[in-house]
Amino acid sequence: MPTHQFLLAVDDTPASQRELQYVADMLQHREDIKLYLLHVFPDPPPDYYVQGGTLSDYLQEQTEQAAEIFKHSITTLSQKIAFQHITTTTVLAEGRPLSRVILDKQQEYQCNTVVLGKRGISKEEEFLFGSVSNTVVRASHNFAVWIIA
Amino acid sequence: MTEYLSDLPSHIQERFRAHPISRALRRRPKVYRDTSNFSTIDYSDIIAVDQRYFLVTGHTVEGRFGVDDQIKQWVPKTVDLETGNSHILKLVFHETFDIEVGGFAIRCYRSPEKEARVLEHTRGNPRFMQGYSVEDAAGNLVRILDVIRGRQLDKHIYRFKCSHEEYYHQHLPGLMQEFLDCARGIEMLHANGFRHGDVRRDHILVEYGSNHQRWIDFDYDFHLIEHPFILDLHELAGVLIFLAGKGDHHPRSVSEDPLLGQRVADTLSTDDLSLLNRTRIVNLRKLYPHISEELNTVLMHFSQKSTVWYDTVAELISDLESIFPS
Repeated sequence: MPTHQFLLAVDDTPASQRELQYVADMLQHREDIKLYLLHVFPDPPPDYYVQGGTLSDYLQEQTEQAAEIFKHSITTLSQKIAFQHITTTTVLAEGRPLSRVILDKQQEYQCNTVVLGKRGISKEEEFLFGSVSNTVVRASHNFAVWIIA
Repeated sequence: MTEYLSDLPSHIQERFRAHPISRALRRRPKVYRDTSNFSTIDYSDIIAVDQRYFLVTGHTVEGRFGVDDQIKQWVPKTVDLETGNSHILKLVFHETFDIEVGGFAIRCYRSPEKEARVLEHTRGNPRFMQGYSVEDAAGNLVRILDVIRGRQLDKHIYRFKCSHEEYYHQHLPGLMQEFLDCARGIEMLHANGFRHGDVRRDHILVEYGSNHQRWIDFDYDFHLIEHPFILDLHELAGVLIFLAGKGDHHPRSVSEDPLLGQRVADTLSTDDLSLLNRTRIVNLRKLYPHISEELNTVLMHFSQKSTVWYDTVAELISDLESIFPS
């Protein structure tokens, strides 16, 4: 039974790549861990269906992208962490902010630690587009958060 | 096959002939049951939906800066030939474009479906324009809106010819009660997963007589994933700053204002400007020292100086309620 469960939110950005590298370095050779790789994708834009798209098309497209992201993620992690410690999950946000989905999954998997990559953004960007990492940190009452900048 | 007035029930033809528009016809009026090609629908034509006959008496115009006075062909002004009541119809027009906010391009979607959902959700709520949606013969979602007899909020404010100090003490408290009710309407939308999408001071109408403020135009939508309601909040703050300042204030207009002048303009710094609009003054207390510290603190949360922002409209309302108790 792993004593430490980590939730790693991953995507295809350089910040996510840094996050994975950091986790691999920090947790190398640990046997008492479990890593949940989580890729959350947003709902399609409002005009997606008007233009003839269907939910199944969108899900397939996003699932294929997620598979690529996980493939790269596991390649990075498995250099230092045993493959059997890693699980992957893909989730459609269904109207929720990405941070909310991450927090929900932390609860569901009972993870002790959430790990996020952070890209540098301006004040204006943060106000408008939000910061997943800041929101998760603000909501972290009973778990640790690693922000990899 | 083209349908004309003569194809309609006789009592509708009579109502048409009794309307002043029938004395100024430029061409033979057509009847449209399919509004797909709305650009061909003209003055004196009739839109037939929901077993009602709407005589087109004109078109609304854009109020947005830069495209103001552009005719909105998809938004005809009409009269119901059965009842004689005026209605605004909104026909299906999907468009996608980018708006610039704080130097960032944000994709905006015009969505008749979203407006129809908001109309349904706010039915009976006096803070929102009223109406309903129905499909035309081709399945287009036509929104049939009641006309609000009123004046745009900005024009309402410009009618106060008194000093800012008199406005602030005599008029703003009442205006704020109305504004807070409107803001609660936006809070209710957000709580139910809807955005207004186009919060602007000219999208609040102040009803003649009652002076009640009411929201109009809900067909814009955005796709901001982490902060899905932030644009409504930001624009709501814009309306608040406009109300508090009795208009917008820019560094240049301050220096040119004989009552403020260069002496006040020289005190302004970047910190005093809006976070997302660097030409707009948010620190109004520097212009009008009679503005309370509490109100100014709320405004300053939207300034360049701020590092702590409101996350929700509910938080903004809560702070304003303590400053303007009902």
